[in-house]
Amino acid sequence: MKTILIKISLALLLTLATGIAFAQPQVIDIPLSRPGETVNLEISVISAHIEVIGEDRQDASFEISVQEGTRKIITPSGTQSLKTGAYSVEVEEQDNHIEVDTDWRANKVKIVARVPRNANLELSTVNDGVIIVSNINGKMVLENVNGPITATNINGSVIAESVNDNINVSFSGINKDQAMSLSSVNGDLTLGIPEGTGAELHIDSAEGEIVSDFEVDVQPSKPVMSRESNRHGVEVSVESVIIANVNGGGTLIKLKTLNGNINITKSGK
Amino acid sequence: MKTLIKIIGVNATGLSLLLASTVFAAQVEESKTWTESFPVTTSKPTLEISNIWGDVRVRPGKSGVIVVSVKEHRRAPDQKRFDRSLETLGLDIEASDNGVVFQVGNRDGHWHGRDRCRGCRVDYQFDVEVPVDTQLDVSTVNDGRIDIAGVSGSVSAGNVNGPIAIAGLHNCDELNSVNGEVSLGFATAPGQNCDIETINGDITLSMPETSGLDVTMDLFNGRMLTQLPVDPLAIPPRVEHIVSGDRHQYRIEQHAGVRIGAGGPTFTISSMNGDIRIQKIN
Repeated sequence: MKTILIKISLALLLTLATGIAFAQPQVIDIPLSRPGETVNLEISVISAHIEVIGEDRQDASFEISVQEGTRKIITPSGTQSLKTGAYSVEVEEQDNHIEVDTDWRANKVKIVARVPRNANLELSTVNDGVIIVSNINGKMVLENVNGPITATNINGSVIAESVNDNINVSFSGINKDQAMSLSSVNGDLTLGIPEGTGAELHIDSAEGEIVSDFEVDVQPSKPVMSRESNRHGVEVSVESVIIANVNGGGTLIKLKTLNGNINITKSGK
Repeated sequence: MKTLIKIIGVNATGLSLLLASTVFAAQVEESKTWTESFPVTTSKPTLEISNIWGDVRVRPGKSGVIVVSVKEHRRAPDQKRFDRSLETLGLDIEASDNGVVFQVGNRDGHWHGRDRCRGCRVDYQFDVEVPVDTQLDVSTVNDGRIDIAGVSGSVSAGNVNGPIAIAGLHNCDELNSVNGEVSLGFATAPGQNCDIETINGDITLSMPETSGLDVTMDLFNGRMLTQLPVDPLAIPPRVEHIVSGDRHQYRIEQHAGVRIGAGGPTFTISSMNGDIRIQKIN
C-alpha cells in the first residue's frame, strides 16, 4: 500500500513538474504466435515516451496513453476549451513480430511495453521523446534524435544513437559476436559492462572527457580514411579513434560523441 | 425486373438527343442532351450516381418515377482517341423497380483502360427528379458539385474536388469530400447516425434549435463554431481486433466529443484543415 501511494505521489509530482498530462492509459494484452520464442518488437513514433520492460511472460502487454490537448469551441456565450486526447494507435503481431504505429495526428504518445525477456528491439522517436529499456536479452537498435536513451540490465548487443541527448547503456552480459555502437553529437555516453568482460573500445570524442572505471590498454592507432562515391562526387572522411582494450579486449564497441563526455563504468556497481 | 442500358455515344432507342459535334484540327468534341424516365414501384426507391467529371443535382419530383436529364460533353485530343473513348468511357445505367444506378467509368471496370485514351474526357451533368422518399447515394470527382434539396430519404454523398450542398435534409449516412465544403441544412432534427469527413473543406450543419446530437470529433487544424449549446462528452476509447490470416491488428482509437443540446444520434465528424460550424435554423 505504501509503495503504491509513493508511486502515485511520484507520478503526480512528475506530472505537475513537467506540466504534461496523459489521458487514462489503455492496456492491450497480445498473445504471441510462438510463445516462449524470441519476440521482435518495432516501435517508431515521432514523439513518444517508449518504455520496454523484459519480464518472465509468454505474451506481450502494451499500456498506451496520449498527452491530453485542448480544442477551442466558439459558442455565442464565449469560447470553451475542450480536453482532447484524440489518437489512433495500431499494434500488429505476426509470427512473433510486433509493430506499433500511430497516426501522425497524435500528440505525444506514452507506450509501456512488457514483453518476454528474449526480445530484439527496434525503437525510434524524434521529438520530445524518451527511450527506456530494461531486463532484455537480445539485439537492440535504439534511436532518439532529441531525447535520452537509457538501457539497463541488457544481455546482448546495442546500437544506440541520439543527436542531442545522453545515452546510458548498462550490460549484464555482452554478445561477443555483435559489434556495438553508442553515438551522440551533443550528449554524454555512459557504457556499463560487467567487471570481468573483455571489450575493444573504439573511442571517438572531439571535445569531452573520457572517464573509465576499468584499467584500459590503449592500442596504437592510426587515422582510418574512407572514400564513398555518390552523385555529388567523392566523399572522403578521416576518423581518428582511440582503441582501448578492457580486460584484454573482446567485443568491438564504438563510442562516438562530438561535444559530450564518455564514461565507462562497471555495471551493477 | 432489371434493365441494363448502355449508352455509347450514338443514338440510343427511346432517348431524345440533341447532338452537336465540333471537329477542330486536334481536339474532337461532341455534346448531347437527353432525358429519360424510369418507373419505380417501391415506396422507398434508390438512386445511385457515380460520376467522374460534372455535377449531380437532385430535386423532388413525381412519385413512382425517376426522371433524369443528362448533358454529356465528350472530348479527345484526336479522332482516333475520340473513337477509343466511345468504347472505354461511358455511362452505364441499371434500372429496376427499386431504383436506378448510373455508373460513369470504364466499361471494363479497370482504370488502365482509360490510360490508353490519355486526354479523353466525358463530362456528365446530371439533373434528376426523384420521388421525395428516395434514398440517395451520389458522388462525383472533378469539376462538379453535389447539390441536393428537398429529398426526405437518407443521403450518402461523396465529392473529391468540389462541394456537397444538401438542403431540406432529414437523415444522412456518409458524406465525404476531399477538397470541398460540406454544407447540410436539416429540415428536421437528425434522427440517425451519420459520418462526415473532409480533408480541406469546412463542414456546416444547419439544424432546428431543438436538435440534439452527440458529436465525435476528429479535427486537426480546424475549430468548432456553434450557435447551439454544447457540453463536453466523454467518449470511451474503442479497441478493435482485426485478424487477417496469421496477422493480428489491435487498433485503439480515442476521439474528442461534444453533446449538442440534449444529445441524440451520433455524428462522427472529421476534418484535417476545415472548421465545423453548427448553425441554428429558427
